[in-house]
Amino acid sequence: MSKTLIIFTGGTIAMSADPRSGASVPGVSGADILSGIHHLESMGEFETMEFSELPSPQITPKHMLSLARLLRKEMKRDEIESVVITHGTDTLEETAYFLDLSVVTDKPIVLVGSMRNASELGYDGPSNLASAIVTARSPESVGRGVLIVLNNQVNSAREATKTNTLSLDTFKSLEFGPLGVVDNNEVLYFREANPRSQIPVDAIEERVYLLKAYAGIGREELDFFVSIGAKGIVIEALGRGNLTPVSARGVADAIEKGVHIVIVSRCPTGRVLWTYGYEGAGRQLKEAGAYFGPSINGQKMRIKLMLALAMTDNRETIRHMIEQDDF
Amino acid sequence: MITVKQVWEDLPTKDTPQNICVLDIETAGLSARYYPVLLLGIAYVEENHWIIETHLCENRSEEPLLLLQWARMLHRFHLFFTFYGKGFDIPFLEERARRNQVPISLPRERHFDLYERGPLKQVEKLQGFERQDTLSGKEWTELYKKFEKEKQPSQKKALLLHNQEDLVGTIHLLLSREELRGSLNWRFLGERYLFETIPSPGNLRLLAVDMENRLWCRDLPLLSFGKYHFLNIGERFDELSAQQKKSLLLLEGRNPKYANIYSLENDKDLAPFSVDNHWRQC
Repeated sequence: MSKTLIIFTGGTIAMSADPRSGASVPGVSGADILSGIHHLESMGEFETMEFSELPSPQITPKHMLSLARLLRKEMKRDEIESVVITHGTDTLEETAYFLDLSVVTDKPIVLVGSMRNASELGYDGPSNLASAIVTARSPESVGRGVLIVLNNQVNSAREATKTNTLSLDTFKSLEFGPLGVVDNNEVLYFREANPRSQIPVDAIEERVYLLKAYAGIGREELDFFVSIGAKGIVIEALGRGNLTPVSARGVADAIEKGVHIVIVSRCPTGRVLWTYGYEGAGRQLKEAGAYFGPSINGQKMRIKLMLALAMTDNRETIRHMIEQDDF
Repeated sequence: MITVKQVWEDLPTKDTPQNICVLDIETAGLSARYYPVLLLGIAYVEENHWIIETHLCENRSEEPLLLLQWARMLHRFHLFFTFYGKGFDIPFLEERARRNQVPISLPRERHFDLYERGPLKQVEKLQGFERQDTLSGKEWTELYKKFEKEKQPSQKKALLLHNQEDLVGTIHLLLSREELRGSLNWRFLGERYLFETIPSPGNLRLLAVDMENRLWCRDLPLLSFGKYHFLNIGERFDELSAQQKKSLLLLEGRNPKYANIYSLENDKDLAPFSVDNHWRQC
């Protein structure tokens, strides 16, 4: 009989308030969370696995790689039809995108978390988990890539980001809207997921850094990253993909030294392009050899670059992976 | 990376399902330990025409892009036909993937090698197919070395043509196999893919029916999964009349939501077995 594998990694969904300090700390087991779902038995067969008990700021790309390996192994089992992974929300989008890029399967993989812990009023863990299970077990979810389910909304891992520090509907696909909703124990899809690119490599290049541009940015941070041996740097540049003249010179020097630089935007939506030609602007960065990312945020582009650089350091090949295989 | 998609007008499709493809690769040498894969060609049917899609590395360092295309194809197609793929193409791709730390592989059940006897060129002659391409495998790799430096359109054309005609030859072979013809592929589906690869716990026999992409079987790992529907016909398959077998094929193209044929595990659901009954219920 087909089963859903539920993997617990930790996060607010597995936390409650410490009685003395009142602060949220780990302490809710997978079984505890599942016990909050009243009609669990009617939802199918499950297998559970404790991967970690980590708040998501402690999840690193190495953990993501281990999780990808675990999934590849489990997905080979015929009886495992779908997977649900509980995860803290802070870095959930990065883990989700990592798995989306690196695990080749049609079987649904759904990431879920909660914004309130088990001691708070309106703990959203069990209801989010129930929605995630419904989504994972739906035949309609097959082949849609990794999904993120919170607050009854289904989003694509490629598109969604955490938009609010507190509210329950924090995960949004700002540019494209949700893929669907979970309503009355059924997932209703509004649209297809956008075509996805994959880099299913079983390794990561860890020396990839992220830098956010700001008014008057210099080249100190860039030079620092280069000095500590950066292989890749993602820059959330200004607007359409522009920098200051001095930081653009830093970019050119870094590329000269063999560092791979990807430009995305610090704007929450829209893609970058080399349309401006003034000093420091996109065209100059393009000519210096920087890659221009698709409509995706810096933290996710960093994940993609970590995987791409694990496979090759050939510039044209990386450029293709970044610029042509995505939207 | 050069990607070329070409419609092959003269080839009959003979109801070939859309979710299968014919695959052929070209490499820089015979050993996957030392040489990269340089070209990945596939042929598939779309809107009643054969499409030949070729991905060619502009230089050998682009191999990772080709391996990513290979990963994509595992999603796109259910079944891969090759000529001598068991001996060359598939193990070569798997070794190259492994060396590039790409943990993907083609499950054995999803690959069908059409190789029977003799090299492809000989078989093609038997099929009456005349090639324009004159390159041998070794000449191909030599031409590729020149192309890497010179990038002449005529070189590219010759590199592509060699692979395209290999694919066309393999397609001829596929179409010539009597049991593979049309969508009434019972012999083929039954013997090779349904009953051999799907275990029969107790007296259950499962027939995989893919509603979205015509009737076709899926491999073992996807059994009773997602949009694939499974029909338990117990030991009765051989007892079915030709008409009943045919009506199973009629399931294709219908809305899966109304197909009440999910894993019927009790014999009462099957007696008397009739797909037509199911449609009447819908």
